[in-house]
Amino acid sequence: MKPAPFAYHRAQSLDHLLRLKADLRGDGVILAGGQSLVPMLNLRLSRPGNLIDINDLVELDHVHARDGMLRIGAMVRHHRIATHPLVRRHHPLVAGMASMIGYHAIRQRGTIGGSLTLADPSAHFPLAAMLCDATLVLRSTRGERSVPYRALYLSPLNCALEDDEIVRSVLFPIPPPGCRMEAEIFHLNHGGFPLAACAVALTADARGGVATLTLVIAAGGLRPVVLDRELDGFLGAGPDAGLPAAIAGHVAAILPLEDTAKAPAAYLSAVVRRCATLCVTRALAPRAGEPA
Amino acid sequence: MKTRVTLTVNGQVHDVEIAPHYLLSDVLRDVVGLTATHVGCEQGVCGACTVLVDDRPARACLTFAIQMEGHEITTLEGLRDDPVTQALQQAFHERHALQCGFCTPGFLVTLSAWLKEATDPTPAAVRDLLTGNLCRCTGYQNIVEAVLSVAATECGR
Ligand SMILES: Cc1cc2nc3c(=O)[nH]c(=O)nc-3n(C[C@H](O)[C@H](O)[C@H](O)COP(=O)(O)OP(=O)(O)OC[C@H]3O[C@@H](n4cnc5c(N)ncnc54)[C@H](O)[C@@H]3O)c2cc1C
Ligand code: FES
Ligand code: FES
Repeated sequence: MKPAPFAYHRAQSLDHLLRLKADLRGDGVILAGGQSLVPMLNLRLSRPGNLIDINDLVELDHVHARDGMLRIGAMVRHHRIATHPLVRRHHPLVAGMASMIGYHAIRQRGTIGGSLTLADPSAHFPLAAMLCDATLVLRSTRGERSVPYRALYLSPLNCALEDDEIVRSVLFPIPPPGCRMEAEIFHLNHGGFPLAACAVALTADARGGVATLTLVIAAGGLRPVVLDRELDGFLGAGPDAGLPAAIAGHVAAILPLEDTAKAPAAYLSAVVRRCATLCVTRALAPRAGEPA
Repeated sequence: MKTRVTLTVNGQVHDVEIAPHYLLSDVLRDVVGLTATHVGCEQGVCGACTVLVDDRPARACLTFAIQMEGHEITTLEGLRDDPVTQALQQAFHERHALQCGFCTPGFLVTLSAWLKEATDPTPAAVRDLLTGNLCRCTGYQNIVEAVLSVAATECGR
């Protein structure tokens, strides 16, 4: 299908963009990579009066690592994140997630700002941003504010941006030495949206047991669920071969999964258990070059 | 409301009169008159409309033509003299890697760009890349074989 007509604005600078957003409010929809918005326009699920193209904004295209933070501009495309030396060195999980999104051609255009703002419940970057407790830097003509993504993400496809706000960049805390992050994504068809996904951040103690543990689960179209205090019972546990399955069983038991059009709850729960088992196993496995 | 837009397609400048909501895929086919770019799903899934924007693969169905001012668009027609594309065409022909041919332009455009960058085109990497292009006829086996035969000689050139 074809999109409905709209007026097109090409933002020339960040200030120009903020003024357009302040004037047009909710009827001025930002066009970043277009890899989610344009399918919605083509299907006429969305019919905005105005599109504001931000592809020329160098102000939104940066990658830095400083003061313990990896800062990525909203317009940085998935492919660049997947291959960027700073991201790969400081935050392999984020680079790895970027490399798995959709297909090669989609990753050339799609941006991290678009993905986080869209807040699709099964998308890759929202899962990573939830796990890492990333912060979004938002701008409007009224000023700048920084909001944790976990607080901004109200519900699937619904981020609490004001009508005149845009995402400028995202800040990922660089994981401390010894903290391991792993993700496991389950697809029914390669490159399609995941059916369920799990990401884990785990620090091992001197014996190879669990010192800190955070897990995020995305399944069943629900808002991704962050579990940390819920897993306190496992702190100090292990190392033992049954530990990953025990954690996964606990996680699956507390998720409020329901039957969906894609899969019944029991199936989703089994997939969640498997994803969680695999990523906790990898996070606990000794690695070459690290003390056992 | 239509506006005048200057598009650079395959190195040639075209002044076209289009509305902002016209998709690049439609403008290439119906206004510029280049029909190698095919349109399947208009959702980014099938890959038939893949073109190069500044030498990188992009879905023409997820791009508005008006956005392309200041960028270089390359369609399969523009790769006529490209050695990697020619090698791919020959290999597709020899290995029976197309039947109806609807999907073929999207495969060739995607592959020609990828093979110039790929450092390690293993069978798994080729299959992973080609998940972004749907073919209803061939079953992919012959396409993968054709790509690997070209990769052996053309990669990184
Ligand atoms: C075939 C296909 C497969 C895909 N598979 C996956 C997948 O497996 N995993 C996955 O995670 N994603 C997948 N995607 C989605 C893809 O990652 C998109 O790139 C991403 O969801 C949106 O980024 P974008 O830059 O294209 O944003 P756009 O589509 O341009 O915009 C998306 C939304 O965000 C808003 N927006 C964009 N930038 C800003 C900003 N800076 N400030 C405020 N608002 C903004 C827009 O107004 C719009 O509402 C797929 C897409 C396609 C077409
Ligand atoms: S028509 Fe563009 S991807 Fe299918
Ligand atoms: S040859 Fe017919 S769709 Fe691929």
